[in-house]
Amino acid sequence: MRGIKTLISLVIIFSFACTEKVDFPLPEDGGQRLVVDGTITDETKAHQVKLSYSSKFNSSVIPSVENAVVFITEGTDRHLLQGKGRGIYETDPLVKGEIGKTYFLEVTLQNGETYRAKSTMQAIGSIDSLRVELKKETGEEEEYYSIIGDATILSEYFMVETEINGQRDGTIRDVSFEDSKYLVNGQIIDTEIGYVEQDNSNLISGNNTINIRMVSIDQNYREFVSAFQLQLDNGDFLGGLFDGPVANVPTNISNGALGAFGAFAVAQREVQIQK
Amino acid sequence: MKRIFILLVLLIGITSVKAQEKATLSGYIKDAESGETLLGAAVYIQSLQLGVTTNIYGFYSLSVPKGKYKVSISYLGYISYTEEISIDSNLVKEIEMKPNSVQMKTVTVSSERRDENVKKTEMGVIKMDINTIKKLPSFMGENDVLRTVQMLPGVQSGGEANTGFFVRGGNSDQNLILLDDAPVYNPSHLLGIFSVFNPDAIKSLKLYKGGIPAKYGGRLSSLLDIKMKEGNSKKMHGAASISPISSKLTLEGPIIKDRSSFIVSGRRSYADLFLKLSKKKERRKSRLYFYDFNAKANYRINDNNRVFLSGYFGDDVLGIGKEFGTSWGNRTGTVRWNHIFNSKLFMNNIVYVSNYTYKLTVNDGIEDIKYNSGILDYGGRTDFTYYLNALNTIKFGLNTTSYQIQSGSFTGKNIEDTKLPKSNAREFAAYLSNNHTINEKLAIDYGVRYSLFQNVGKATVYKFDKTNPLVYKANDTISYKKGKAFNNYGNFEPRISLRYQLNKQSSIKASYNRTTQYLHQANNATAASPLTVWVLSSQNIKPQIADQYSMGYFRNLFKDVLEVSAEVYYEDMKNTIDFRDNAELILNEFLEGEFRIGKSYSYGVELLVRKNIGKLTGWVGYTWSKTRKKIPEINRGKEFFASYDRTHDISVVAVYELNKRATLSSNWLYSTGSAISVPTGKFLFQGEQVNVYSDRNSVRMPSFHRWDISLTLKTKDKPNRKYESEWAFSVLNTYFRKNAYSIKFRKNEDTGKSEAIKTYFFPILPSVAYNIKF
Repeated sequence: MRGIKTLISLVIIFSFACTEKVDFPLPEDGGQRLVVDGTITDETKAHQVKLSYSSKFNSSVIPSVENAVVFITEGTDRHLLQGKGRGIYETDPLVKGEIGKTYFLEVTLQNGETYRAKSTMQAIGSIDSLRVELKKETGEEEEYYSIIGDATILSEYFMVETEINGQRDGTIRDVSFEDSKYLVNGQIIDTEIGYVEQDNSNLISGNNTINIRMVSIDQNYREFVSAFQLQLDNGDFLGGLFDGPVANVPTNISNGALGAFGAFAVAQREVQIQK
Repeated sequence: MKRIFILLVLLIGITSVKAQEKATLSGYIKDAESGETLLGAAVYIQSLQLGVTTNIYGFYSLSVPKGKYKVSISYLGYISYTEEISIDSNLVKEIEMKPNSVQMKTVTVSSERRDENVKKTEMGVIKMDINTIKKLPSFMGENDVLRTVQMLPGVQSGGEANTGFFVRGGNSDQNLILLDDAPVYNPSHLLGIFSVFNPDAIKSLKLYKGGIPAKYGGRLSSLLDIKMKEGNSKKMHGAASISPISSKLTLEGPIIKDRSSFIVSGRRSYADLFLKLSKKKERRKSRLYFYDFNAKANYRINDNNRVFLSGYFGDDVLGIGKEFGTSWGNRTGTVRWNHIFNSKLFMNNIVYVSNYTYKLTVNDGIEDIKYNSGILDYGGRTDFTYYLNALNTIKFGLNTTSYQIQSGSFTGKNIEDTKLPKSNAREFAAYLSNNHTINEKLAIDYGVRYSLFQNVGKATVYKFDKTNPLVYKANDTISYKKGKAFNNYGNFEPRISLRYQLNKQSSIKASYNRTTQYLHQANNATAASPLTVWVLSSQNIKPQIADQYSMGYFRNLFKDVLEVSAEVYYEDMKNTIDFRDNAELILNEFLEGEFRIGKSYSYGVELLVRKNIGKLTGWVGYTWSKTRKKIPEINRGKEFFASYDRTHDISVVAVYELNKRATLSSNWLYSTGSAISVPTGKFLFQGEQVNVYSDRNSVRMPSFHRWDISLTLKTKDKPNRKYESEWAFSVLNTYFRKNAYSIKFRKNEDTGKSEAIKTYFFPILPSVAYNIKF
């Protein structure tokens, strides 16, 4: 429906309204706020937490956070994350999350401020098959690779990420997320799960490995992604006649920090694309 | 509650004990030229210091001890006169008043008796006849009813290009707008640029900002009662007008002379014709117009029975080429029967229907989407006015309303259909009130209304798990069969207003009223979105309740030439609705889970100085007010300003009659900017940047001000000419203030810097309209 509101707004704006750039003095933010992007999955690997600061609206510098003490804890397991520079902190590479467990993130900055978050890892299910089809959108010139498959979903919410030849394709802007309540018995049957544009810069000529990752997310993480994407859309559209009041992207981190921490179970499957 | 009834009975008793042989003078008061009934005309007997005004249907009744009296009849803009009448037995007297054409026709805010302002118990009420509205500067040649309402103290506008209005801290969905007693659900055309009320078909309007009579209910903040013209019962007449944005045609006349008359009026805008001239392709392909049609007929069966039939329909049509089309509109219909049982008992019966629909189609060849939503409301009311004696007028009656809401149905090819189930409810109300003149100085209008609301099946009601304040999750459902009533809410709504006359020129008034609202709009934007969905109270959404307290000082100066009033009010609202951050309000099966409930309050001071008589007429209004909301899950539980909060609001309206043919008018409006949230910072997440926002509505847009002027020139009067015509020239936004409609912030893709972009609607906008009456 957003598209429809936008269309109506556009007709009105094209018809009557004028726009211009103005100076609008903005209030100073209370200060830099901690931004957390952290995950732990059921894979055996070095799990990452990225820490940065928010910046002033007109600034172009995004400072990273160094020398913080970062722990991911579950019961008596307490993993200290090592600082790797540029705000990146990593667990030992042998750490593996466990489905059904609740993970706590604890970040203590040099100034003594402590921030906490928690997330429970829900079972994801499995991707049972994948195939690739070249498809064309009606009215579009370019064909694209449609990745079609069957899957069984156990978690309430899940999101889909795509990797091309080991590289993550896109950002949080591009993940698709779903509520499994819209599935019948948690089954995805012969449905497009992901897609890759033909001109995607990660593709090489010859054989490409596409890895589809389905990850289980909890409700808070889903809200975070959904609001984040909504704001990215809003930011592109000028006018917003019918938009509600702008609102911050919600967070599951305490103490006024921003961002999100999630414990994900991952189901993944590879498929090949010949270019 | 019992106590209130006992008090009512006692109070009525006090003044009815003085048994004396009495007789009643009653009847209708009408315009001698058109036969239109006059609302609020005064009948006064000086020797008894007793008087009464006609009700909204033009009926009056006055009981006095038998005898011969000098009775004065007066109504502003008409020739007052005094007549000696023997009232020895009950007497029915139809009075016809001649419009005052000798003296300069007065432009009035109130068209009543000159000291009505001081004398009536009513406060927070503004009446306007259509002639007043027509004299003010027009907007692209159109004089708009709601734009004029926005210029009154205590009424805030939704912003530039928006006929939405906010009364004493209430949201725009808290105004009950009645067109011939049928509620109008979306009063705006072109998304708020015009209202749906065609001024040629309207007779008068009355806005209650407080002290809403017990007769009315269903909305928290205000009542805007708009009456359509009845049609000239003496002679055929017509009027037409052409302006750059629209054309109108009205015909009225007798069906049977002095017994039955009709009026039909149509209007169509043609902004899209001009869009064809545009250089931009998008503009040329756009369709953008509205039309409306009003019709009314009445028939006087005999002196005691009259029936009226009136209807309205109108649509907005908007689209781009064949690919995209949307339309929305209201339809209303009213049947009214006025019956006089005897000179003391007047009955009004109404059956009405109101329907608002929104439709959208997208033909992109792939999905071909169709979307519909709407509300159907039908009901009836019976009202009695019992003129017990000259000191007590008792009103009582019953109302019933049925609601049927289609929250959204979405169908298309290649996509899953979403059809939200219809929701149904009924509302009943009973009321009793008395307008009681205790003595020369003190008068009280007191009453009570009881409203009962009932959801009706077929329905599926969700229960929500509210442990996560961010998102309520449906965890249980209850289903109800078709026609099954469930979930009742009942509320007593006491209403009282009091006037104490200090002397002939001044009075103090106070009022208290409680109002309840069971129907809410799911809209969190300030713009009058046609997509807005209405939502009924339910187990999840409690009715909104408001208590309003107000006091005022009213004084007339210079022999009633100047009216001055100062009113203060405080309004406390419970169960105020708002929506969670990033709420999805359209096509959401779990919509009730998006509501967040809290409270709000508003207080303010309203000053008004107006001059109704002479060559220079007009008013100066000033409002100082604050409106805040507190909703635990929003803004981290901290209080915040309503987006329509305006600290200062000024309007200066002047009409100057240069000579018999030329009238100059001007209005200047000022208000504090809307309260908005703005970005104060930003952050990166996986390489994407989003904003960090200030507290909700903690920053102000630039203040709004605008000056409009107009000149109306009547063509020379020639003997034997059967028509009158005039040219109306107007300039909107004379000093080209680029008033911000919205301010958005974005990242400039070229410079990478963040910038603020203002959207504004109107440049200097000159227009001319030609009006003709025949």
